[in-house]
Amino acid sequence: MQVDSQYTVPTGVQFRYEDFGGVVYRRQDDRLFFLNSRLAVTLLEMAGKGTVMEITAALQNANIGDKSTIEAVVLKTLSSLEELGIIYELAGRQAETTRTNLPDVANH
Amino acid sequence: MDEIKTFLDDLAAMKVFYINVGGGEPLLHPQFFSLVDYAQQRGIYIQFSTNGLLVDRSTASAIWERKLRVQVSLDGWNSATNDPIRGTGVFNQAVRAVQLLREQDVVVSVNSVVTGFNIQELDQMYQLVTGMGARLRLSRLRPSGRAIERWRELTPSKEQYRNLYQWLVRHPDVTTGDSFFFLSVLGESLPGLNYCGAGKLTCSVDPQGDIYPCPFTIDPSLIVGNIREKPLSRWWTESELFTQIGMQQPEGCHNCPGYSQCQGGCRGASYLVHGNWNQPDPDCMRGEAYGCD
Repeated sequence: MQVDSQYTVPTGVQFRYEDFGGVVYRRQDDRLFFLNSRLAVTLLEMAGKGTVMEITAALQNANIGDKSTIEAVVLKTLSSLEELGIIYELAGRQAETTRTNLPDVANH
Repeated sequence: MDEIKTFLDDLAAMKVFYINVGGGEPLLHPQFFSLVDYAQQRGIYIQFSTNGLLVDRSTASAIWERKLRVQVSLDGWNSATNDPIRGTGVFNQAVRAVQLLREQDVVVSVNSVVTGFNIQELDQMYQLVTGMGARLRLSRLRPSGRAIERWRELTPSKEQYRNLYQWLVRHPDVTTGDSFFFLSVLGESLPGLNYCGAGKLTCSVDPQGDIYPCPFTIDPSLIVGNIREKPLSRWWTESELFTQIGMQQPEGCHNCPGYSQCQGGCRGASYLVHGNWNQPDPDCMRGEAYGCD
């Protein structure tokens, strides 16, 4: 995952916020994942809505951390989510056709 | 129907991932598939348990069309073991149900409650179930409902539980849900949910709308509230009982080196046996694992 990457959440993966961070359910293998970071859930919400750089900028605009800090944290979080199979990176033309406009980001 | 739909709307708003429908027997409800459709349209997946007696080709087809996951109950690998528990003739009908569902390529788990009477037949059960193209799921006998009076008589011994742990390690394709995480103190954690999800991840609602921390804590003293009084979404965040369960580390588990692995075991079993939340799981294996007590 790089700053110019885009990513998406596979079909059959659901998630929600919890007080401790969030919970992810992957229907394909009936697995539950516990996320200890609400940022991780926010990143799942923003899947497909821009590159990592653009999402980071949106988070920064919403006053969630400073640029250098947030970018490193975002990349690390996305890498973890990718390792778990909760997101996957979009490649090339797939990324172009999947993109939608970035939403306003609530300060979670 | 309207009450159930309102309840499902509330679950959808809570972003509930899926619901397990049990019983009784869900297929007895005349609007079962209509309600399933309603739930799925709201993004809630449905899994349900059945004794299989009402599963015919038409029902199997309806289940397949909706991509439902089904759990068929069997407590023995033959009628001699199963039917004294489940009823005369049930074994053959349940097996037939699994076969019909598998013909339609429905994802089927066969759920077996492990007792001292069938624990010696796990290999045969495994062969039977996997031979039908289904997955074996083992559940723990909890001291609740009709089992409460004979629980001590029926529950496996510690030695049997130790053997069960080794058997589960050798059969990682056998699912156990949150039934046997108290055995994780014996070695590596078993796959599945390794702590009590009652009141934190799950709860149970009975046909009268009463809410309980989980399906194994169906006891009048453990009613959280009723969805006819206010929605589950409000009980979920306002219930002191849910908070109490979530915060409780049993006193008996303080300083136990195994706690990080077993999390004190099943809170429901502890409450129903000891009468309070402050004791370890009644089948606590720490004496086996750590040579204490």
